Amino acid sequence: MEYKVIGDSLIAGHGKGEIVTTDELQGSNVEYLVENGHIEPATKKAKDKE
Amino acid sequence: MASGVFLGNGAKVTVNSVDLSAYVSSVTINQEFDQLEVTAMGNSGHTYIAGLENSSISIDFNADFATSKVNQTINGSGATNGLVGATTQVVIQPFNAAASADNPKYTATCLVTQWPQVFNVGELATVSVTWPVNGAIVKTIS
Repeated sequence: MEYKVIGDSLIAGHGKGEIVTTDELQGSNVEYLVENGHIEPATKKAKDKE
Repeated sequence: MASGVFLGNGAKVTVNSVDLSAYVSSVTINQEFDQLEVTAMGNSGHTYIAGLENSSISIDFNADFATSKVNQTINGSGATNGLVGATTQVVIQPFNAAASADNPKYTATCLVTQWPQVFNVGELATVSVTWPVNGAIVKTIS
C-alpha cells in the first residue's frame, strides 16, 4: 500500500507530497502516522489533488 | 562518510519513521549488557560474561507543538497520549545518508516510558527522555 506524505516532516526519507510505501514504513505505527496528519492513503482522490 | 573525527551535529534521528533530527539537540545510544559474574576458585580478580542486552536511547528534544512536529509526533495531536506508554521504532545514524560501514544505522524498538516536558522562563522549551529498548539494538551497514 502507498501513502502520501502530507505533513511537513520527512517520513522514511520522503517529503511533503511524495509517496511512501508500506515496506518503507516497516516497524512503524502507520495508523498513528495517519491519525496525526503525517501521511494519508494514496488513493485516486489524493493523487487527483496533486 | 567520516574520514576521521567529526562534528556530531549531523546525526539523523527518526521516531516512528518521522525524521525529527531538526528538533534533536543530543542523542545517546546507551548500548549495555547485563554483567554476570562468573568469578570462581583460582581467579585472581572478578571475571564476567555478558548477560542480556539492557540498552536505552536518550534524546534531548527542542519542543514544537505545530502540526506534524515533535510534540504531536510523539505525544499525539488528539486528546490521547500518542506514543507515550507504547512502543515505537527509533532509528539513529551519525549522518543523514545511506547506511554504510562508516554511517551505521541503529534501529531500536523503544518503550516510550516518559515524556517530561520542561517549560522555564527565559529558556527554550525542551523534552529530555531516556527510553528503554525492547530486545536488542540492531546495527545495519547497508
